[in-house]
Amino acid sequence: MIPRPARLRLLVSPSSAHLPSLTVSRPFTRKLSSSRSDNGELKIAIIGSGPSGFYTASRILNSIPKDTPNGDNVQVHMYERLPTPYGLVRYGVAPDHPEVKNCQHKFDELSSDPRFKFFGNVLLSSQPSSSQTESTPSTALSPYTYPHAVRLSFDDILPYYSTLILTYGASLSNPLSSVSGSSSSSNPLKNVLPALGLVSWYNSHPAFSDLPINLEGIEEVSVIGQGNVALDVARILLKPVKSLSQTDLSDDVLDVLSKSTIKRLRVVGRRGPGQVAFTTKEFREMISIPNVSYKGVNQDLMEQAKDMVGNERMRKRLLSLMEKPVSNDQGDKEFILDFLKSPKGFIPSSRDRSKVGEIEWNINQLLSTTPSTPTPPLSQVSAVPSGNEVIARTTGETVTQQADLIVESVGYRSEPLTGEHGGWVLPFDVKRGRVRNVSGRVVDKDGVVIPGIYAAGWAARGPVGVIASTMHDAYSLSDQLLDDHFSNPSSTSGPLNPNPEQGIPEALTKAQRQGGIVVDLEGWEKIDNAERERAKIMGNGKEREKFRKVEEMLAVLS
Amino acid sequence: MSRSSVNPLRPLSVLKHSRPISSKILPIPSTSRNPTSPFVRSSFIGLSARSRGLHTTSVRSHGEITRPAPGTGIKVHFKDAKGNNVKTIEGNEGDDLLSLAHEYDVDLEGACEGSVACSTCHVVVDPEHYDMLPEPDDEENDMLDLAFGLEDTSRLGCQVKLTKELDGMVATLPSATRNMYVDGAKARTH
Repeated sequence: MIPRPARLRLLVSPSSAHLPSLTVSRPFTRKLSSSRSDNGELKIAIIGSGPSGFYTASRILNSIPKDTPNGDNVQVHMYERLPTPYGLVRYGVAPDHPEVKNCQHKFDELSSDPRFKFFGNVLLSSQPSSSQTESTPSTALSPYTYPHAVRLSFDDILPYYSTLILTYGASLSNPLSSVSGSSSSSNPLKNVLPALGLVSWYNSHPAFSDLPINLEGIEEVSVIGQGNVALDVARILLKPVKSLSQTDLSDDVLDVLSKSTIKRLRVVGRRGPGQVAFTTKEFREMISIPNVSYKGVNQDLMEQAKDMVGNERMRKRLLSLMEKPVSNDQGDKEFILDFLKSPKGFIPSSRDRSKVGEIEWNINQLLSTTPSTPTPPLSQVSAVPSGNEVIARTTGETVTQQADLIVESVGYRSEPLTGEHGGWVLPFDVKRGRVRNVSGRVVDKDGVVIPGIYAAGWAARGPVGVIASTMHDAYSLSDQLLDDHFSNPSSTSGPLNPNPEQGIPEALTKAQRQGGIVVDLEGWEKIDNAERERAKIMGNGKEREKFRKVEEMLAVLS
Repeated sequence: MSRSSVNPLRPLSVLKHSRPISSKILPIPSTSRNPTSPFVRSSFIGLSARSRGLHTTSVRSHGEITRPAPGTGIKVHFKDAKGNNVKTIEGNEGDDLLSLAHEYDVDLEGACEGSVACSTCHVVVDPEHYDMLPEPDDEENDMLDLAFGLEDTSRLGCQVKLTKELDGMVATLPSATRNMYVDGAKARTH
């Protein structure tokens, strides 16, 4: 995952809502203060409270401070289907990277702004709120349907807002449905898991707390894919459990990890060492695990990779690190990087036909293409999933290896947020698995901009980049949105209301009257405190003992 | 290691220009490429010396700064990518550039709050003063690898600690450039 630059300043879009060819222009503040005084109310619903959501909210509210002319014209309501905010910062960032979680302070700062409201435990979809059934996408792995959440449809809330921002991330796994025995195939085998499931499970995401993970008897693990998620999974599975005991992994999870009998873990890519998507920091951590040995990379492959990456700083440094074997005296576990292999089929174990036992791999060769379109900057190369320059093509040869556990780490996709019936439907690009948008402006199926609707973060761009890139994306989007709203208002109105109704949506208050629980900032604070209190009582030295069930979270509030 | 001064906006052309590629890599005709493959549109975000009151009360706990009496501290000039002075500030020995930027409302992010887990506080130091700094360690270099607009004298602001000899140092905030991955389709209005 790749950070983008720190700070973005002035971003001014051209005067139409066309594809922004951004130019530097008049200072932003002047434009805001001289903007229309007739309406101009900016009442925003943000769907999703992960980093793209809270960075967007923060940027917008901080760009128009309360004591400025438009300050009282701005309101931000954030909807989240879980009772807890922070999204992937809480449920995706590795438990042994607590420093990365510092960015959640940006969300905490929002609580001091009276123009900001948080509605946790509220699930938005196109489905009418009267309907209580919810189909689960087949790639979701977990059949969890957020049964405790208050359900609202877009039609319930759109009249209350001038602007809608989709920042709900990517919560489904990319399928390997053509691979027999994979988790998304018609004959899924036990011990084959999407990385999303495993990561969400160890981070105590309520939708995955019942995932049947058992590492007893598992010796050989293959992780398919070579991004930072693959290395996160590898690290959590190989690290001595005692080095994780002070993290926010729950005791239940630590208990499962402590029974692991894993001896060897392969992280396998379809291409070569020059095309890995993980970053140096994450790899350096792998080879620093005390009881794990690493044999390096086949020399021919390495030479070829070095030719390919040339003088590119990041890849050069990474390759030189990947090249060196790390032998460890106490090394009772082995970490392997494997290349030029794509899964052909997952084969049942001979002892138990319901479980996986082996993988049959297709052996690949690399093909180069000449870039005919501009390619991303160097610092973004590994953030681009397609890999335009080097592709893998199967040679027809195959090889079979033992695999007691397979983790499919081949990317995420967003949920469509549609229902079976419904009113307004969020435009969704099914093929790409994200909200249909051009540079953050949501467009309909004909590519026409829908005024006032935006998307940021993984729901807009796909699941690439670290928090810094998400932050940057959120800031750019916010600036673009403010410019659209105050300087270049659209002459047409979409499904939103240019003169939004006051207050919070009636459907939300009605649901509360009927017993639905909406978690506001105060409610979240109670849950947060209860988790910290639990850790204190258990005396395990952790900052918090996460609740793994929504019921437990909501019980704190009653 | 030496830091190559790559231009991050330059297309990656290692393969196009590289030496004969080993036999395992076979060129395929460019016509077989997916015509809808994403392209990148690079755009420019201007930098200007202006405070929009972006800093609310910080909850960062590290790097508490005491401002020296004016004229007595170590001077640091923060500049934007075009070389315009953003702000000249004064700090004490041991202060780091990220904390100083926050103290003086210079627009430098610090998403991980100085724990070398992101590259959002990247600055480019003037060469003269860069040479006076201790070498960046592996962890800092790992993060710099991911920074935008990396230059030979790039550092993470949180890792640059002031000493007396750094008086007059210039720290340039790199140009923030957004790259939008658009899908080839142009957005249209009615």
